[in-house]
Amino acid sequence: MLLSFPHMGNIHFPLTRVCQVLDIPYLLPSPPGPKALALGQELAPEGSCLPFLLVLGNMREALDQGADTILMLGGSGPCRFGYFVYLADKLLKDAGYEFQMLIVDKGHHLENYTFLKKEREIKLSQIISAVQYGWELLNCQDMVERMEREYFPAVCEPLKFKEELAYYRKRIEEACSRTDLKSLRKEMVENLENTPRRPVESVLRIGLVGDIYTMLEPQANQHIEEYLLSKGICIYKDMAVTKWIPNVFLPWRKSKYKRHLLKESYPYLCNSVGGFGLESVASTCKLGKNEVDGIIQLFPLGCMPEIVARSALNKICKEERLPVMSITMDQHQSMTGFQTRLEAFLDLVQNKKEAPSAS
Amino acid sequence: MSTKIGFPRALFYYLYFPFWHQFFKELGYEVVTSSPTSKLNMDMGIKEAVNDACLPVKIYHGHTAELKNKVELLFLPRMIRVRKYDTETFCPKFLGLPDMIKNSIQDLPPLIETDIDLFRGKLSLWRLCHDIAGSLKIKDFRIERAFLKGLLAQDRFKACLAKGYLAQQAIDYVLYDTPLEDIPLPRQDMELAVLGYPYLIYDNFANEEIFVRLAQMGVKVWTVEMVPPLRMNRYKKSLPKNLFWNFSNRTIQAAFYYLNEHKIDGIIHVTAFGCGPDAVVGKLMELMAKEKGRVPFMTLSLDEHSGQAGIITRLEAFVDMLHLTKGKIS
Repeated sequence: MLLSFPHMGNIHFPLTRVCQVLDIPYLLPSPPGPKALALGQELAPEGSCLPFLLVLGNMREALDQGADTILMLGGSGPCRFGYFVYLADKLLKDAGYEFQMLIVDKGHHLENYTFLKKEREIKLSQIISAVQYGWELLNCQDMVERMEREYFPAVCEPLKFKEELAYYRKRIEEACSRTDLKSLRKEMVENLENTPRRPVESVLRIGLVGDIYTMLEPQANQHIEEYLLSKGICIYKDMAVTKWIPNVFLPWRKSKYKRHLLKESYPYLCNSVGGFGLESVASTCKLGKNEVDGIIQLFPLGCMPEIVARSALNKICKEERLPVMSITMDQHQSMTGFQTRLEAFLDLVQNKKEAPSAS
Repeated sequence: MSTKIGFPRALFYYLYFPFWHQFFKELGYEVVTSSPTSKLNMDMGIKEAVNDACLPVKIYHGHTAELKNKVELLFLPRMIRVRKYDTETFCPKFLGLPDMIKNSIQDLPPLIETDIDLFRGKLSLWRLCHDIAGSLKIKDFRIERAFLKGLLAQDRFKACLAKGYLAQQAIDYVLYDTPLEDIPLPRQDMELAVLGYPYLIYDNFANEEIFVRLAQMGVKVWTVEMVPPLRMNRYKKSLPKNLFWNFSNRTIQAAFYYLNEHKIDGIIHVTAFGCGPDAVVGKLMELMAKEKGRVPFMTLSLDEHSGQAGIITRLEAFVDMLHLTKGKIS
């Protein structure tokens, strides 16, 4: 057995750690890029979205290199990404690959567990503790990134802050137990939160909304975060794996989460539309109130939930006088067009911030 | 004069209009629809809608924009579920349709907004009808009568569709007693399944009258609605996991039916450019057709171009190829 899984942002690091703890041999495909795109495009249906092309490309690459088991998240719609794992299974088998697909979805847990038990003789208790460890790792990673996004452009001593971030990143990688990680996270938050910073009003702040893959995977969003940070702009982003997974997989949190989102997105969107449509609208409303200077919505071409969200964002833009720009991402890998649009938007937001009465 | 309720002639119009028409009529309202899709209301839709939206949603925007000044009330349901069936619901654009309309089109008349979630079948529908009537301040036995009349009309409408009539013909027949006329079929040399969503298959403007064109080429057409419902249910478990979208499940199951039980010469999948579910549905159907001994399969993608020649050329090429393989070309 050689396990592989597609990339999404930096979720691969906790996953590889979990595999190491459980002693499962794994194979990590190269980060999504032109190669994954080319491999995915060959098999995928014409109208499929960018995330699917990259994920499928990752899977093919791993299979080409000898993996025989693929771990992938399923879903129950109505966003089509939830079905893509079943479609990918069919497509890859039709193309002649032989492998086992481990689908993380309702009704597949027992099957996956018996498979793992048979192949590697892993006990349930081992899996639980490994997953808890991986979860904590994911939390720490999210925290570091969040701190960098929100604080870095505003700190008084950027070099020192960068050093500290690197230091904590290294320690997170080295930590090998859940309790270590927990205390490390606490220490880190205390330490970094007290870094001297300029007042937030002096820095331009941009909110990012959109679907999960485009938000988390730099390749799918043309490295927008890196670009904005280099321009000295604070980024506010609600999207994180650690925020989303518990609210979707733990049934008792689901309805409360949805009610909360609906309350925030009222009256622009009054029903869940699958994917991250509702989250995008709710987070735009929320960030807009917290004095973000502008919102950028990123989504792959043809993403259904985000198209519905976009109609709501257009209205929010008009009614709340909040600058919003929507950009559709596709297979085009040219940075120039993307950066021109970003620059134009940022100039506009900057002008509006400096002369609010004139706008 | 009775109050006018607007019902845009798009999307679910082609499957559920007779029920709602009879229901509102019995309650004492006049139901007004927009004119059949044309260049005019399609362009209006393109102007109003978000530019990433798919063709049918843009057409719906156009019809709504056309109706908004002609009616006192607008019926704008949110389709969530029409049967209890795994995790089946509708495409996200259907789930967010009322919001999209409200966000994009200004100066709308008062709306009748309802969430159509029929997880208990007819009982839910009955409750829903009571809610709608309640919001219109009607609370007597008229509701029951309207509900039953609606169901009756809907059943007659479904029967007409099953016989192969177009949705508009069937609606005219059921509601206004216009006699049904078959599409003239000069000679029949082959049978094709034309599968796709009702709002594309039955919208004569969007699909450039595909039924008439195919009939002229001597093709007998079979649609999703012509599959007997009991036969369709046989294919409930044919996929590893059912799709999440009602129309897509029906299309896939119809494809299974035509491939397994009903001899056809080929499949034409009619889809709209930018349709999300169809990226999955089209590929699944293609793989199925390949597995079933390479049944000829074509995807006909419609967009707002409205150029007839392109569609006719593709249809002719496909039919000619089929003739060639049958060895019948003259």
